[in-house]
Amino acid sequence: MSTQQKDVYLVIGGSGFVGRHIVDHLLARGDVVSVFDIVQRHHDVPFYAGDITDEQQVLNAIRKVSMFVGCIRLDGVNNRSCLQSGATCIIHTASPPHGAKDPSIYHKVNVDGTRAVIDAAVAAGVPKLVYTSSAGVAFDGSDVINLDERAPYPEKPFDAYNDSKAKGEALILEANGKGGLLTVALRPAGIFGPGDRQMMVGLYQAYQRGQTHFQVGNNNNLFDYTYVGNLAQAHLLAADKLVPPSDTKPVDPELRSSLGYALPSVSATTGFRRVPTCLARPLGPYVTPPPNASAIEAAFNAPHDPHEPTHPVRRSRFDQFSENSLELASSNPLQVAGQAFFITNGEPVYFWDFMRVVWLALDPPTEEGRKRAQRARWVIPRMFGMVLGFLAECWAGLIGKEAGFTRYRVGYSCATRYHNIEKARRVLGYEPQVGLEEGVSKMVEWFKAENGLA
Amino acid sequence: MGKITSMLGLLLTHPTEFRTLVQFYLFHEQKRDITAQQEHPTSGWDRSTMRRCWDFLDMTSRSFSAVIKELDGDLARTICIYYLVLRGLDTIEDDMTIPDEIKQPLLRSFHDKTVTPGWTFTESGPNEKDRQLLVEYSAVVGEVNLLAPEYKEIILNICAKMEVGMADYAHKAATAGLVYLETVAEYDLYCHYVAGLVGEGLTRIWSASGKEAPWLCEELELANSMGLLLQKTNIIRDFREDVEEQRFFWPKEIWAKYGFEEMKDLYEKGDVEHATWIQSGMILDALRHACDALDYLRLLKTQTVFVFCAVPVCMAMATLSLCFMNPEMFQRNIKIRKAEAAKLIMQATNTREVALIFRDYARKIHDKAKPQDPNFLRVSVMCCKIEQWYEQNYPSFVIMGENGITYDPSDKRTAVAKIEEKRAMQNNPTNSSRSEPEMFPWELATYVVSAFVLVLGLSVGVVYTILKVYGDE
Repeated sequence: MSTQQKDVYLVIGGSGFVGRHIVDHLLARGDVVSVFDIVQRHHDVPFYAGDITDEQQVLNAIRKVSMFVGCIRLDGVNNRSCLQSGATCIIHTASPPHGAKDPSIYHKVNVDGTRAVIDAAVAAGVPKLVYTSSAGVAFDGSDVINLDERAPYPEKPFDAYNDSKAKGEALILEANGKGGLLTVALRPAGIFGPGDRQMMVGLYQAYQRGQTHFQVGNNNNLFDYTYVGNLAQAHLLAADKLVPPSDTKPVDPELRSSLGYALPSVSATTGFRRVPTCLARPLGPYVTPPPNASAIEAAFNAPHDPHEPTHPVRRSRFDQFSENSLELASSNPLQVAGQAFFITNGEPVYFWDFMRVVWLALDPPTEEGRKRAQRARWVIPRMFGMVLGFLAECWAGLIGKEAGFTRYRVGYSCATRYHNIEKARRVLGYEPQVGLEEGVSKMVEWFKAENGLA
Repeated sequence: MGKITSMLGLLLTHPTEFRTLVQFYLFHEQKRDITAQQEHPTSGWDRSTMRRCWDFLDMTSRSFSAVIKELDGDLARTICIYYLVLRGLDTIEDDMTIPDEIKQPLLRSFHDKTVTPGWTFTESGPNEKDRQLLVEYSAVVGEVNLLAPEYKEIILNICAKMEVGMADYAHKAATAGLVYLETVAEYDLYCHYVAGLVGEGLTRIWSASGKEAPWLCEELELANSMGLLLQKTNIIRDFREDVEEQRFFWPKEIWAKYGFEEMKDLYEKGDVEHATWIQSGMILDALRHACDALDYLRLLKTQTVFVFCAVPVCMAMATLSLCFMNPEMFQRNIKIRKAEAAKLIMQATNTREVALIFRDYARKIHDKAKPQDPNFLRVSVMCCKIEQWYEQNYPSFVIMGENGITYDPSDKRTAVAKIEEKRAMQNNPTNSSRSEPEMFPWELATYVVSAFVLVLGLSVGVVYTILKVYGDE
């Protein structure tokens, strides 16, 4: 029995990979959603075609979104219908794919487009705007190790794509509070899942070429991956939690005091098992039950709450939630509005391991398929890989083709890139639901069906 | 003589291990001598019963006796007695020659027997290696009754809980004819009884002693994880020995696959590949306690308590990494090398070092993992959780050098630390001089100058005396 009015959603980029999953999640919980995009791919929701960089087109879509809602009168009797007009929450997830031929498109969509969306939202008086940013906004080419959201944007941008995402995100976060608009940015890393048209294509190419037994570097580098369904879930959470910060109580005291206690480890892939203790355990093969039998058994079988604080935690002063860091924070990291959040599966893995699992899932269940997996791996040291990459680039330059094996790729596969999602877990209440194994099998299943593979 | 030849052999075959062992024997001295006169009030060495207990500790536990003796004050004696009580209980539980109708009441009343003056037990099977402990158990009883009441209460309480669990499982095995543990949950519960409870008791003793936080004893899950990590490691490593002696601790949920119907199939069928997958499933299950163990260690304050807890879990990680994907384990009892154990004992002095040790073994395990193994990705994720734990608690961009702390410029987190330091300086400019590294160390200078003056004065004095005495000749 919620007294809160349900939001009316407009998903910008709702035909895309992430956007479509967000639409699916919204529909699944019975929300009213429309899509704004350049092309229409699904026909189950109202669709508005338009150019994101044109403020007027975005504004028109926002205003056209309308719906009938059952309005609840003060006496609680739901007996009349009224018309509500306009979106109340925009989820802006449009972004050109990484690797475009003409890099100027990045700036056009991610910066100019985002500015147009903000202006349109303010003009239409939309209260909420959720932006799909990227973990790449903090990337400057050096290793990313357990990084949290305090990290500044790089002084020297790594490439045009990441630069445009950072600039877009900065616009979004600055817009928080502008004309009553509340904003939040989510930063996923390594998105995968059904509908993916980037990661899976590259992995399948390597598979077809029979390159799956090569490994560049020592594979001690951890990497983040995000299942697209988890990311969609995070968008819904962010939208729900995007409320005006209270002036009298800027920090939720319960949240603040829970920082002294650890959160349980993310267990989407590993599975959760409660460690038995003398106060919470199964009864086992008892001869006579213990006096508190029902209590200890109930405590053991209680549903697992992944956000229930566990033991006291000692934080170093470099920790984002140490007293020291909280005091020095430039904005309140314990609120949603105006904040950025890394969103990942929270279970980073060694870089090549993820690839291996995808390739293994691609293998047909035959003797031949098993043979591929049995092949001994070839480890190419990073330095040697760099030399090879250089030579390949030279050769490609000579024959006028694009090199497949480049120094950039060598560097990429040897880099550590994983993020700390404690802020999203604590503040948004985010918890990855689909683990890596399940996510990969869903992705590969979809990929096989889509491409007619056995 | 045997030791010398084995050391010489080691020098030729494994020179680095030889060096480690020499270092260990030369530099790693026992921190506390419980036999020394001034230690008698807390170590009880002046009582014949307690001396006998210390003997039993050496006899029954090679790995724990050294770290127990190094504990502070009366903790050493308390833990020694705690260990012997549980060892006595365990000896009865293990003994397959005692019929169930005798074993049941004996186990279920063991906490009473443990405080009954003069109680001994002489009917252990002839092959029980610790049967002598029960033959002379009255010495332990006498010492239990001399313990501080708060410690005695904890020990008896844990003993009472453990004996019920052991008796329940023994009864089930003897009557229902079910020899195997079915599920991982049952396996966890068994390990809770025989090892998790030990961890709970130890933690309560730490809190009661005042050497650790009073709330530490409430962290039951962490305390149990410490015990479970050690117990599960032993259960994995001792696979062959246990199976041959009809002790089956591995849960069917993990091993009853790929056509394995009995536990001995794992080595008799010759299906090495699938057997190693079962093995990795067991090791994966043990590894889920690794970060809990690190969390537990991070909450400790007293050095000797820390070492007591840290050394065994480091050995466990070393053993897990030795067993992982190792078919030898199904054939014979494998052990970590002596030099490796010595190195761990010397290294495991603080949580950061222990986390690094854990991370090294996690990487070794991951290196041996095979993608075809269905546990592959979960093993990888579990190893990465250890990596993450290290980075979360001891971020690697902070480099502790001779000139204080520096930051790794190639790490993105350095930018965060620098921004925060700048802000701290702006917020509180009066404090800024404190962090100035060039500040002249006045205190140190005073010491240096006074030492210099002292030495000079003494030399002048010596010269003057010499001249005075011999100058006249």
